[in-house]
Amino acid sequence: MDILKDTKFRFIEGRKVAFLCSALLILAGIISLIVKGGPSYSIDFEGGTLIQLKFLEPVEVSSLRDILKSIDYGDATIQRFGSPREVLIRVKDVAPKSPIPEDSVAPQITGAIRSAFKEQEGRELLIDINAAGPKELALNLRQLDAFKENEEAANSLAVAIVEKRNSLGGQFASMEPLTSVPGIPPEAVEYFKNKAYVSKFIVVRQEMVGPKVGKDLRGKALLAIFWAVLGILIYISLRFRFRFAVAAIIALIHDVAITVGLFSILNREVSLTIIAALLTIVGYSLNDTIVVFDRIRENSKALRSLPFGQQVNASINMTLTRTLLTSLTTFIVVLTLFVLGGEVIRDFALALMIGILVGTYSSIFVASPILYEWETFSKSRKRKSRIPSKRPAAQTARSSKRRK
Amino acid sequence: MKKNLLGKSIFAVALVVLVGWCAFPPKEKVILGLDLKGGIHLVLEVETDSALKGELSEMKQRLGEYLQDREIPIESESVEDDLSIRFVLPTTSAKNLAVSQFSEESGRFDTYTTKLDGDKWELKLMFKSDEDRRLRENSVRQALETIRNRVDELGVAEPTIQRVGMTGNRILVQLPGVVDPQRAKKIIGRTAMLQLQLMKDEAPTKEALLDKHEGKVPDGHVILKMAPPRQAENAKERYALVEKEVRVSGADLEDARIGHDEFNMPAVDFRLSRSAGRVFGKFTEKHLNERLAIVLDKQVESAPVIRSRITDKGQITGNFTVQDAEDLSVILRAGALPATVRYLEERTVGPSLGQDSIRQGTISALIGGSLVVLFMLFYYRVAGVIADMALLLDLVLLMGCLALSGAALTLPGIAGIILTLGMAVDANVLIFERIKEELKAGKTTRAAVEGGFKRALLTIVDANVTTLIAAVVLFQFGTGPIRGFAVTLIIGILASMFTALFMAKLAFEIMIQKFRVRRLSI
Repeated sequence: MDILKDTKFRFIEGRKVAFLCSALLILAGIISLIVKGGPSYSIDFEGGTLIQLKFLEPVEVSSLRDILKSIDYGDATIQRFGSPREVLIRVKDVAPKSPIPEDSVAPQITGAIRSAFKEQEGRELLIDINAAGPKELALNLRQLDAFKENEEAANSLAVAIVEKRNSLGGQFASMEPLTSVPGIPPEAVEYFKNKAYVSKFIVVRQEMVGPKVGKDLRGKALLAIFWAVLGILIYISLRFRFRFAVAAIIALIHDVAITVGLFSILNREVSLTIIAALLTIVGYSLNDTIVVFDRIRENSKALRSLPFGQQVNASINMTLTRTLLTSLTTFIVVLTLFVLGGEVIRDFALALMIGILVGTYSSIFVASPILYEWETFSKSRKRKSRIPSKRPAAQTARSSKRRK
Repeated sequence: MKKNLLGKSIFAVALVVLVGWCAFPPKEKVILGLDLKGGIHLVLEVETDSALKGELSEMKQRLGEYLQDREIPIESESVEDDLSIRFVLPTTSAKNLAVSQFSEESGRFDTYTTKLDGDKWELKLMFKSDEDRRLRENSVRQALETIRNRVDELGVAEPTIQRVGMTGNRILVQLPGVVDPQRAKKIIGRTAMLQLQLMKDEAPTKEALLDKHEGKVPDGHVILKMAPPRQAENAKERYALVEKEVRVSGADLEDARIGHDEFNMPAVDFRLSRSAGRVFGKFTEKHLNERLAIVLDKQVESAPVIRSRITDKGQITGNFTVQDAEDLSVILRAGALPATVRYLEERTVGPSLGQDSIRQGTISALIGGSLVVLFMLFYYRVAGVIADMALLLDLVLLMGCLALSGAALTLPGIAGIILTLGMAVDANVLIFERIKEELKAGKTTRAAVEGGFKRALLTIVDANVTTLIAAVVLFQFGTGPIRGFAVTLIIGILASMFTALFMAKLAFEIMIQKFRVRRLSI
C-alpha cells in the first residue's frame, strides 16, 4: 500500500516560507524566555523542596495556601497534580525556617497541614495506618496474643496489609478494607480499629535538592548536550561532508530551541527528565535528517545531470513515505504515553511529542534547504573565483570528486 | 545460502528463547529502580573541614600543653577558620623556643611566623597539602564506613552506599523500600559524638552562668546547651558549665542497646570496653556525688549524679520515644561520624506511586504497541507481519538484555521502552520502502529484497549511530532514572537494528527460498 505515490513536492522552492515559520517559532520562544526570565527550572536545577500529597477527599488549593502562609511559606507554588485529590507543593527553601537543626522543610510543611486538618488531636499514641511501614505494623501485631510467639506470621501479615494498601492507591479510606486482607484474624482488625487512625493524606513523593547540586546539574546538562552535539558533528563529518554535519546540527539546535521555547510558552518546567527528552530529540531529529542526507548523497551520483536543488527535492520526496511513517508510529506511542502514562511522565511525553513534530519538519524544511543554500553559496563563490584563476577544468573536476 | 538458512534460523530461535528466558518472569528478573519500587535516595556531603578542625583543635591542645610544660609563655591560642592553629607569643625568645619545639611536627605542618606589634610574634601552623588531602580522604572513607554500618544495623535490603562526584566527598545512599525519610536521615546523618564529661554548674542562660563565675568561662571548661527535660511543654533552654576533658568517648563503647530508666521510659544502655571501664571506674570513684554530663553532639543529653563507682555500664536517658532510643542505640553501635554531613539531595518515592507508574506504563506500552502493530499490518500487509514479529522480538530482547545487564528499570526507562516500540519499526520501514523502489524499477522479487536490504543497510547504521551517540552521552550524564532511560534507549536501538537487519532478512529469505513466494505483499 502507498499513501504517497511518486510525490514531486518542491520543498526547496518553499524554503523561504519555512525559514520564516521557523524564525517566528524560535522568536516566540525567545520572547517568552526573556519575559519570564529564562526557562523555569524544576527543583532539579534550581534547588528547593517538592512534596506530592494525596488526600482522601478533593482538597482546595486555597485552603492549603492559607496553611502554608501561616508558617511563612506563602511563596510556595501549589498546584493540582492529576486528580483533585492530589497536589504538588514546591518551595524554594531547602533549609527550614525554624531553627530545629535536624528538621527539614518537608516535615515542617506536612506537619503544619496535619495539624490544620486536626489529624493528631488526641492521637499521639495511635498509629497512622496509612503511614506505617511493614516493620511498624509487625511490631504492633506482636502485641496480640495470636502473634506474640509467631514473628514470621506477624511479618507476613504486615506485608499483606501494606500490599492491600498499595492496591488501594496507597491509602485506606477507613479500617473496613482491612477485613479483606488475606489471613487477617478479626482481633487484629479490632486492634487497629482501636489503636490506629486513618490519616487524611499521604506523602506520595518528597524531594529536596540543594542549590549547589542544582547548579552542578545545570552545568552538567549543558555539557552533556555539548558533547552529544560534538560527537554527532564528528560522526557526520566523517561519514558525509562537513557541510552536511553543520546543516544537521543547525536543524537539531532549531528543534531543541523550539521545544524549549514552547515549554516556556506553555509554562512547563525544565527538569532532569526533560533534558533526557531533549537529548532524545537530538538523536531522533538527526535520525530523520540523516536518512534524507543519505539519499542526497546517493542522488548526487545517480542524478548528477540535475541541478542540486532538484536532487535535494527528489531525495526528500523519495524518503517522504519513510519519514512520515516513522514519525507517525513514534508519535502514536508518545501520544499514548502522554494520555495514559500518568502525571509524572506527562511533561516528558509532551517534550517528545513536540520534538518529533519539529524534528520531522526540520529534516525536510530546515536541514536540506540549509545544505542547498550552502551548496549554491559556495558554487557562486567558486564561479567568481574561477574567472581570475583561469583553471575551470581543474576546479570542476575537484568539486565533482568531492561530492562523492 | 540455502544451507545457511537452517543454521541462521536455529541461531535466531535459540537467541530469542535464551534471552527471553532470562527476562521471564519479568516481575522477578527485572530489577526495579527506586522510583518504581519506592524508597529513599540521599546524597550527602561530608564536611571534611569539620574533621580537619577537630584534628586541629586536638593538636592545638597538645601543643599548648607542650609549651606550658616547657614554661614557654603563650598569649593566645586558637583554631582559625582558614584551618590553621594560631599561637600568639609575647617575646621573640618564646617564639624561637616554640618554633624549635614544633620542629618535630614539621612533617605534618607548615609553620609561618609573622611579627606583630612590639615584641609579639604570631605563629601559624597549617597542615601540609599532602597531610590535608590524607585527612580529608580518611574522613570521607570513615564516614562511608560508619554510614554502611548504620544502614546494616537498620536491616535494609539491597542498599546502595557509594562515593560519587568529582570532589570525592559526596556519598550516595539508596534505601529501597524505606518510607520514612526523616528517620533515615537522622540515623545516617547524625554525628553521634558521645562524650562523658564532668559537669560543674548549670543556669537558664549563658549570661547567668557567666555571672556566677566572675564573667568568664573558667580555664579548662566550656559552656554547652542542655537538652530540654522530659514532658516539658514550655521547656526553657538551659546551659551547663562542663569540664573540657573528655573522660569517656563514643569510641570506648562496646555495645549500646535500648533499655528502660527508673520511670520505665525508653533509654539507651551502653557498655564500655574493658580498658575504658578501668579508667572510668577510677574516675567515678574520685568524683562521687558530682554530676556527670552525658554529651551527645555538643549537647548535654542528661547529667546524672554519680552515686557509686561505675566501671563499665551506663545509661543515657532523655526525652526519647521507643523509636528514638532504638535509633540512638543503632547509631552508637555503628560509631560516630568523623565529620558533620550535610544533605545535598533527598528524594523519597512512596510505594504506591511506583505501582501506579508501573501500571500506567504497562497500559501505555500495550496500547501504544498494539496501535503500531495494527498500523504496520494495515500498511504493509504480509511484510507488516514480519515487521510486527521483529517488533515483538525487540521487546523480548530488550527485556532480556535489561535483566542480564542488571540495569534497573525506572519510570523514564519504561518511557524509553515505549519510545523504542515506536522507533523500532523505522529500520523495517526503511528496508521495505527500498524494496518497493527496487520492485518498481522492475527487479525480480529476490533481487529486490536483496537490493533493498543492501541499500538500506548504511542508512540504518548511520541514522542509528547518531541516536546512539546521544543515548551514550545521556548515560554518562544521568543518574538513577535518567540512566535507566538511556540504557533502554541504547539496548532498544541495538535490538531494533539486529531484528531488522538479521531477523527480518531471514524471514524474507525463508519466504522466498522455502515457499518460493513470487509476489511480495508489501
